[in-house]
Order: sequence, then structure tokens, then C-alpha cells
Amino acid sequence: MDEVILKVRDLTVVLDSLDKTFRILDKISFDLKKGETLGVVGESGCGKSMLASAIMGLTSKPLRIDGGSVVFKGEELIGLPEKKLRYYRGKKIAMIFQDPMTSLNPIIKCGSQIVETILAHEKVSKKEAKERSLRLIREVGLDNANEIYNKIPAQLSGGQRQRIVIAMALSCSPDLIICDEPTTALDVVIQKQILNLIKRLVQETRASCIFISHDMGVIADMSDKVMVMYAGQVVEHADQKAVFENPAHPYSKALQASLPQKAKGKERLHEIPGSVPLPDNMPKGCLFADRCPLADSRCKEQRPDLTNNNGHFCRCFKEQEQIG
Amino acid sequence: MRKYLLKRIGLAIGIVFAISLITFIILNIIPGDPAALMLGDMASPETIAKLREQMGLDRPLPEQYIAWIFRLITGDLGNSYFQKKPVLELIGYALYYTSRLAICAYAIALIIGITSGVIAAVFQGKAVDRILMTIAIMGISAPAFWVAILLQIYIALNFDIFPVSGANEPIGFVLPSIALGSRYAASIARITRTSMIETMNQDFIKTARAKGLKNYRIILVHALRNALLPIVTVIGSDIGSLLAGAMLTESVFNIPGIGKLLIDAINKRDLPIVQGTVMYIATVCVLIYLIVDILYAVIDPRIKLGEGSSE
Repeated sequence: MDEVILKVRDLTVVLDSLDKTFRILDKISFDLKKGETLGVVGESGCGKSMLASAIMGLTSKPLRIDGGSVVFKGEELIGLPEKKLRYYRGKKIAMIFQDPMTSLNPIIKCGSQIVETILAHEKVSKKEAKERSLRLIREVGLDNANEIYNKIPAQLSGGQRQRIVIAMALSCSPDLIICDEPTTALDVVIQKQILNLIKRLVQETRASCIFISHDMGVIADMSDKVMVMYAGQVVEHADQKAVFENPAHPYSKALQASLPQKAKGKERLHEIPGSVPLPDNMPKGCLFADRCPLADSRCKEQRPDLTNNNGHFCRCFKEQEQIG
Repeated sequence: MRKYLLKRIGLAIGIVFAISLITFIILNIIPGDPAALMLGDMASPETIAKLREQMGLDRPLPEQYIAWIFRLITGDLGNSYFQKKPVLELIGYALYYTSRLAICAYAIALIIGITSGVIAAVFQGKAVDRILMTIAIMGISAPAFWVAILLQIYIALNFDIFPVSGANEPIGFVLPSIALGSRYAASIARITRTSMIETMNQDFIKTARAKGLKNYRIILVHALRNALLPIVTVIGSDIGSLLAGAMLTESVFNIPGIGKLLIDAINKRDLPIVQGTVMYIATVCVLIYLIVDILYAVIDPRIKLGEGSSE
């Protein structure tokens, strides 16, 4: 049916320290079809942002891509020279970052920051690029485009800045937009506006989207498919509906239980005890075992594999036992 | 912006006045009677007293200070005791040499300093970086007059095109400029490197990379302009001290600049020149800092916004 535009296989990122190498991303694999949105969810430190950087080839020292493949529209991106990667960055794959306070250059006019993206990829005149930027600024819901064009980021609010970042990402009509927690730094009302804007624009442009968030509610709202990550591994991966209505992995269940909407009345919000293990202190068995209510001795000794149950991937012995 | 400007200018004027007072007091505290000095050992006390009266040295100090300040404002710095010329004219003549030397030296320093700082930052940790920074440390540690002497011995004496001393032709400025500029180049290189590395780690650099911009554009437009802010501050104080005259370098190469003028005047106790030169140096420094503050606001538009901005 729809073509697969992004095919990620066994993508692995490691961190080189002086004497040891730690695995930050452990063999991530997924497909993304045209027009589809993949939600990537997990706590801080799960490797979500690292995944985004790795796809764009933006990992920098001391991190390093250590195997795997990222095939975008038939071309392998891993190992591609910088010069060729530049063609994809910004033009074919755009990125929306977490914090609009720091992701825009503080001393360059917002308009110019959009214009330079267009000029970097397309042979158009400066005037045309400027006109398109103004159109983009209006499109992302900023009315006084001419005024905003000439402002520096410090003169805009957080929501306005994030709209500029979105305009910048859309400037070359990319096929894939990677949103790395685009609303985390914004307050709730603005969050909703920005989410709706991204949703609308992704639908209109028929672009595919990787939407990264730690917020299960946002993920439910935005995604067609959901990938739950934990400590650099995929622990569950399935259609949005399947993950939310019938979560398989104890971590996914726990994440959902911690959503305020799910807690009824005066019930205390559920919290997951402990925190994500650090790369230098990974448990021997299942990475989630120490925090899992179901874990038994086998979970603490062996690492489960990601198993496929009719397109619903899950990395859990308990789940496998139930099915098997 | 206007409020910011007025505040800076007011502060600058205040500082110049404070310096004038301090200069006046110090020069009147140190022993030695200018009138006696001018007339020499053979003068009788009567003639000295007469000259003191003529020069206004017998009047109370506050009165002398106020009279001096009024003359200062009208641009009258008095006459040199020994050269019998207006101090202003002497400073102007010296300034011609000093500023030429300063501009040449600093142009060299900026070009070499910023370029090598950026290169070192881009190749952080690699061999190029280490070599450049080793040279920079040597450059900072080597006193300018020593570099000057080395240049005289090894370059000027071996190559006829460079004169050993004097500055009547433009070519005469080459070696002094290198001697004077090398230290500044070294410190600019180090500051540029640090500032660039810090800026290159900022989020907006990642954005620029994610936009698919070319490397040179990321480095020069996005990183360098942000990294320049701390550099502008040192540029200011450097130029201030350069225009104050490079006493040692000027002495070694025998260039009749401000530094040499001041040293000669101090040796001869030519008080009007000392007073005038010190006031000149103070004013230049204050002015340069004022310009730096304004430049800062131009480079970083956030400053223009004042405290009312959202940062």
C-alpha cells in the first residue's frame, strides 16, 4: 500500500568513555510509512532524543553510531559523507527541537533564520525566499508576519518561537519531520495549540513524522503507531490503539497508569518506583526488572528479546508466557 | 538604547574627572619644584620665586586645580617646560606614530588571533589545536620588548628592507607591529578558541546543522558572531592600552610615540607633558570602553532591549 519512506534496522549508538564503551541505543528497528506518525515515548534518559540525532546523523563525540542502518527513501544514511547528508538535513528530513528558547540563534532575526534554510537547499532568489518565509510565518499562525520577521528570538514568547522553529522545519517541504519533545518547554495552553498546529501541518503536507515525547497523553493524541522505549531499547511497538487499549509491556502499563486522566477521583496518581538505569550500571537481566511488579528470578537473570505477536512487538518474558 | 547611551556617557565623564583629580594630586605630592628644575642649579631663590609666581605655582592647590581643569576643557594642556611647545601639539605628533603602530599591530593581532582561534576550536583536541595553543602560550609569555630585540637581531640585521630603528617610512612599522601585535594575537586566539568551543555546544548550532547548512556558514555566521561578544571586550581594553603607547616597543625601535614621550617627560620632570599625557591616556581608555559598550549593543541586540526583555 503506502511506501515505506524510513527503514531503521538495528540502529546502535554507543558512548565512548576513556576506558569503556557504553551502549546508549540498542538495536532499534522500525519502519515508517508515508504520512504516518510514529510516537516514541519513554522517560528521560531512554534514548529518545539520541534516536532522533542518530537518524539525522547528528551524533557527535563522545557518542558514535556503532552499526545498524537507516534507509531513507531507498538511500542508506549511515556512513554517508557530510556533504550528502546535508542534502537530507533540512530539505528532506526536518527537525523540531525541544526548547525554542535555545534552539534559535539569539542574535539573528527570526526571518533570516528561515530564509537561510531555504537558501541552503533551493536555488531561489533572496526575495523569493523572504516571501516564502513570510508565508510560512503566517501559516504557523503568527499574524503580523512582517513584524515577526524582523524580530530576534528574545523579543518573542516561547510559543511564538516554537512556531518559528516549525516554520523553519517546514520551509523546504520535508518528507519526514522529527519532533523532539516540541512542547515540553511550553505551558499547557500553548502546548495544545502547538500540537494541533503540528498535527494539522503534518496532515496537510502528507509528511511522515516521528514524534518524541515522554507524555503518554500527547503520544496518544499524535501518533498512528507507538514505540515505547526504555533504557535505550524498544520494549513495545505496535499500533497506537493496540498500545493504549491493550498494552503488553509492564512499562507501558505503568506509564499509562501514571497519566492524570486515567486516575479516577481522588485516587493517588500511580508512580513507577526507581529510575531508568544508567549506561554504566545496567542490570544483568531485563532492564526494567528492578522496577517491574511482575519480575521474577528469570527476569533478573536473562534479557528478553523483542517478540512479534501479530504485529504487536513486546520485550517481556511474562507476556511471552501468557501468549505461549 | 538612548537611556543606555546616556548612562554610559555620564559614567565616562565622571571617570575622566576622577582621574584628573588623582593625576593632579599625585603630581603635586611628589617632591621637586618645577620652577627650580627649569632654571637649573645656578638660579637664585628670588628668580625661582618669581618664576613660581609667573607659573601660578604659589597659589593654593584647589585654585591651581580649577584653573588647570578650565584650561583642560578648552584644550590647553600648557606648554612643555623644556621643549617650549604646547603639550597638545607634542601629543598630537606622538599620537600620529602611536596610532599607526597600534593600528598595524592590532590588525595583525586580530587577523591572526581570530583565525587561529577559530581553527583551533574547530579542530579541538587535534594536533592543529595543540600546536596553535602552544604557540599562543609562548606568544603571551614573551615580553614585547624581547620579541622586538629578537626581530632587530635576526630580521632587521639580516634583511636590508627592514630598518633597525626609526619609523620614517611605512616599512619601518612592520617589525614593531609584529613585536607588539604577537602578544595580543596570542591572547585573542585563546579567547576566541574558548568562546567558539562554548558556542559550538549550544542548541542553536545543532539546529543549524539539522537545517543542513554548510559547515563554514555554521562556524562563521552562527557560531563566530555569538562567540565574538567576549572578544569585543578584550579588543576594547587592548586598543585602549595600545593607544596609550607601547613604551618599551617604542623605545626599542626608537619610535617617537606617546609611550616614548611620556617616558622622556618623566625622566626630565616635564610636568605639563606628564599631566597632559596621563590625561590623554585616561580619556582614550574611557572613550574606548564607551565605544565597546555601544558596539556590544550593536552586536548583541538583546542588550538594546534593556532589563525589560524576557531573558
